[in-house]
Amino acid sequence: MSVIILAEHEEGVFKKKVFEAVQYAAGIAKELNTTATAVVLGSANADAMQQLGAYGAGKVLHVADDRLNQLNARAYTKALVAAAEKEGAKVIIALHDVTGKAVAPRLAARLKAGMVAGAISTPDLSNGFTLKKSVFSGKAFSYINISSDVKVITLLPNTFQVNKGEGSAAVEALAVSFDDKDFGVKVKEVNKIKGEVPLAEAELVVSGGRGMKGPENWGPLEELAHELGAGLACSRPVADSHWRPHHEHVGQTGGTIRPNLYIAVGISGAIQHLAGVNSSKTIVVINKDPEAPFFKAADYGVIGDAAEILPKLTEAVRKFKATHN
Amino acid sequence: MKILVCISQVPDTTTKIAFSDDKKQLKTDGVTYIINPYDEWYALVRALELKETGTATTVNLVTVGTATVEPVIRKALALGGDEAIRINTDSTDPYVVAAQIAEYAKSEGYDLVLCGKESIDYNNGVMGAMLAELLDMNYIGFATKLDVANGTATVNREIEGGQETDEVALPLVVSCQKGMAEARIPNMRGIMAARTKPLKVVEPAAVTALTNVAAYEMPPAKSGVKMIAPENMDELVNLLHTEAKVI
Amino acid sequence: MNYRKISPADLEVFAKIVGGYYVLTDEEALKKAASDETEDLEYVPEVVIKPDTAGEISRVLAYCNEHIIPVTVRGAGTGLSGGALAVRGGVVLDMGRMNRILNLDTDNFQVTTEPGVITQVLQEHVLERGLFYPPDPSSRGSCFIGGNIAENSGGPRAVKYGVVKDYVLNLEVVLANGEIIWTGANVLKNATGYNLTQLIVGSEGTLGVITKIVLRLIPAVQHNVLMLVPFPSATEACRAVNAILLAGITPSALEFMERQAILLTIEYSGNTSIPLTKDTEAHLLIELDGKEPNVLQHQAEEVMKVLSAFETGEILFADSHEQKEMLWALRRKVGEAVKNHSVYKEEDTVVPRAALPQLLATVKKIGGEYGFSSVCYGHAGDGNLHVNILKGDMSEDEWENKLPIAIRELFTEVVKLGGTLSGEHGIGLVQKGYMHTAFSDTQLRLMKAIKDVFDPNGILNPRKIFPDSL
Repeated sequence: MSVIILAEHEEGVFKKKVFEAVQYAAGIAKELNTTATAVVLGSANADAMQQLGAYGAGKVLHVADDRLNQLNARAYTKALVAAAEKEGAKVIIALHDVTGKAVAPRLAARLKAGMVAGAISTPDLSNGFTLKKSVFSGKAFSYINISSDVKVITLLPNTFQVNKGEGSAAVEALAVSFDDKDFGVKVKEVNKIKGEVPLAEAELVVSGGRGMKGPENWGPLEELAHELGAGLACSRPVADSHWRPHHEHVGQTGGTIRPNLYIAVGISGAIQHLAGVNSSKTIVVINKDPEAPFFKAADYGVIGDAAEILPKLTEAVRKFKATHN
Repeated sequence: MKILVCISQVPDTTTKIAFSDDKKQLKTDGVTYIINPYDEWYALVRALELKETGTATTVNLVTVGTATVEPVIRKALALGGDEAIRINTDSTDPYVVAAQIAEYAKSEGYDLVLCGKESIDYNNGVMGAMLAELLDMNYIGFATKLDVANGTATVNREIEGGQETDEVALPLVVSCQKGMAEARIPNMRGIMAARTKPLKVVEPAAVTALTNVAAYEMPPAKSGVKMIAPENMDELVNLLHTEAKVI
Repeated sequence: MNYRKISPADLEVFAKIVGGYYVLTDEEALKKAASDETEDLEYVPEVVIKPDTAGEISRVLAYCNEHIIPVTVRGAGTGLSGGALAVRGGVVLDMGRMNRILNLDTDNFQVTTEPGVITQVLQEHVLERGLFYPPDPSSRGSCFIGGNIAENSGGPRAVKYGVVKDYVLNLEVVLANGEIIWTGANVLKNATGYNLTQLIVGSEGTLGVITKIVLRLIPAVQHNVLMLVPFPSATEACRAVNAILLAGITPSALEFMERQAILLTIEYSGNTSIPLTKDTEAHLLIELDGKEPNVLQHQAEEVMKVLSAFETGEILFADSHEQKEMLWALRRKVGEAVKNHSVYKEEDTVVPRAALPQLLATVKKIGGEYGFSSVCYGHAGDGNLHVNILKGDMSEDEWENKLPIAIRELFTEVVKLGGTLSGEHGIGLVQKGYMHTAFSDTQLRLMKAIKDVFDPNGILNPRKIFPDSL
């Protein structure tokens, strides 16, 4: 019996959210008196994989087939099933992101394992195996009990603080035999959005609404985002008016994000917008209109004109960085 | 080509969510139910477009639910679609729902199964991948574009930090999101026509639930907003560091 | 009237009353208070005062009355007739701080509020307790309830639920001399003396300053659906309005948009989800509301039955929030779209609704004669047609001098049809020159006499409603 984690990577680089998942899995393993094993698929170097030990992985199983460098849910599922069998895994963890959402449900269905998607808590073992997740688009939470023997969890990124510890994980190769059918998805073209922090994984997000008055006024917003290393988002009317590209649109019909910090500038805070952002840890609202409903959902509010406040805020961030680095 | 579109009934986006006293049920009085927007505007409309262009011959709809979901599935039929299948059971466990749909669909020879990227009630986003596994099909999640020619689908999907164009052989399951199709509003002619379209009720297979909802909970009320004067941006940055601990 | 210019000494007095922080004379504050949503008019006041209580307003007014300083009350500045513009300078009384909802009486279905509450905030507040305040001007997300009362606003729901006046029970008003009165009682029936409450409703800040408002509420309506009906003839669309109402169906909104309005809005919003076929000349947007979704479905079919006697295009039916928003956005954005397209003047004509087809024909006929194009849309169920006259390639001379003659002719025709100048925007500054087309000297003298009783020194919102000749 053990806990395994799908430790996804991009060209051999593990992101913070993977460390978070490893640490999360290690915590669960400890509760269950067992160990956590990270599963790495595709080409990755040993150093980076050993590093996962610093976040609690007892061991790394590496399936070094370079056809796994691209996401193919069938192949990933097969590899994870092999790893789970080898380790006798009772709990399988992945991230609630593009990769995890493609693979974990497939794996759960294969193993007839109960699954909680987008968990935001560690399991409560006092009465079964219960996890908390957000439901009704951020308007409520549910506690879901998994009753099957094997359990699959996808963890919502940015749920827990990541603490690097000591230790290095031993890397063990795992051989899995694939056939052509496992690689049914042929990648023709990849378009990475360059130079910007991808919204879904941004820990800090700066977002503009109709109150920005026009696309020509985005400069100060971009500067603030740049200074913070934040992703850029916008409200629906902004995307609808083609002031900003649609992939920046967050809200119920756009993307749902859960950054640590969401700074909303000139967004009134219609309920549809809130649905996409209100599980952000901290919300700052900057709006000229003191009656903007968004203030009710905010942690910090500034009443005033974006054109005046943004440069001041950017300057304050610059000063802060100068003194804290 | 035969397409199956999975439809889920959800409370309307503006619904005020409240739960029963034992915290186990959604309070349903005053709730307006709609078709899950991702199922409707992206999966269903794209399927209809494929039929309109002659790529697909059949578009059927499937939902898992008791008789109370029939008005919503009729609404989906009003947009288009040849017939609807209602599997007569109800579950909050996604595996049960996927297994019921798969049990029905496996012998029907569907080439393409479409669903929304997630439902706006349980926000799981697992249906497509589970169906793909249970039907032994390929799967593309979070697709923004889908075309089919000569038994092969060309799909754009969201990946970490960008977009990817893939080619996949049918049969295939695709979960759909924004970009896939232009939103449509049903028309009265469609609504009238939907009344007489076949709605088959299928009794559920025996599937054991692997999860259950122990309780629902409302989020705690925010402790209230702290207002900061526009000239005190240093203070704001400081609070974000020391109090909120986010920078 | 010779008004006194404001002196530093006056400012000191104001500062003592409301606190120096709330007496604003900086350029930005004055400029902000200088315009509203009416065309591009600008009248810069001498000072902006932001009071917090009726008591403060009382002292400000008493002082201004004594020293003959003009006072113009301002809500959120969303007015469309220039009612809140300080044309004679002086004080602008900004009501934004008085934004407290004071009491929600769920036993008697009444709410008592201050005037600076945003209409939508008030609506959502009462809805939390299952109650409904129906009037919903298009600007409801930003306009103040006080301004709604001062202008007697309407909105799409008026066809079923009436306008602001139908919900006001009682008002606390500060008179020009500083006295504070209540106009009536918090009761649904009142046959006690003159109806001062209704005299204040729609008085555009010329009779007193509203400081507390008691509104009647009704139980919340839980469901609604929306139909969009294209017509190949605008006249037929107008006729269909009456046919629907005559069939015993009372929609909660019955809105009309002619082709040009739809085209401009589609172009402006880039929204292509709603088809506009070549032969569509007008849309009707029909909202039905009620307690049960099934009943609404049934009602929609009854509407279909009525419409079967008309030539229509493909009728859309929306019942989810997102779908309904898509359709409503088309209607709500017309104003913005027109503004974005051309210099324009907006008229707020209203006729008995059966005369709507004639009104529309008249607008087009006069447009043809005087060489202007117009975009018409509005609350068809109320016979309330917004006529946006586009400047297009008219010369300045034609725009400034010839157009008013055309507008006068239009209003004369409107009155002949049994209608009047403004349905919901008010007279304010921009329509006062046409008051003679609707009222005789005797009628205007009566109104003026009332004004003189309330405000003998003429300090409250001078140069509004009455033609300059009076």
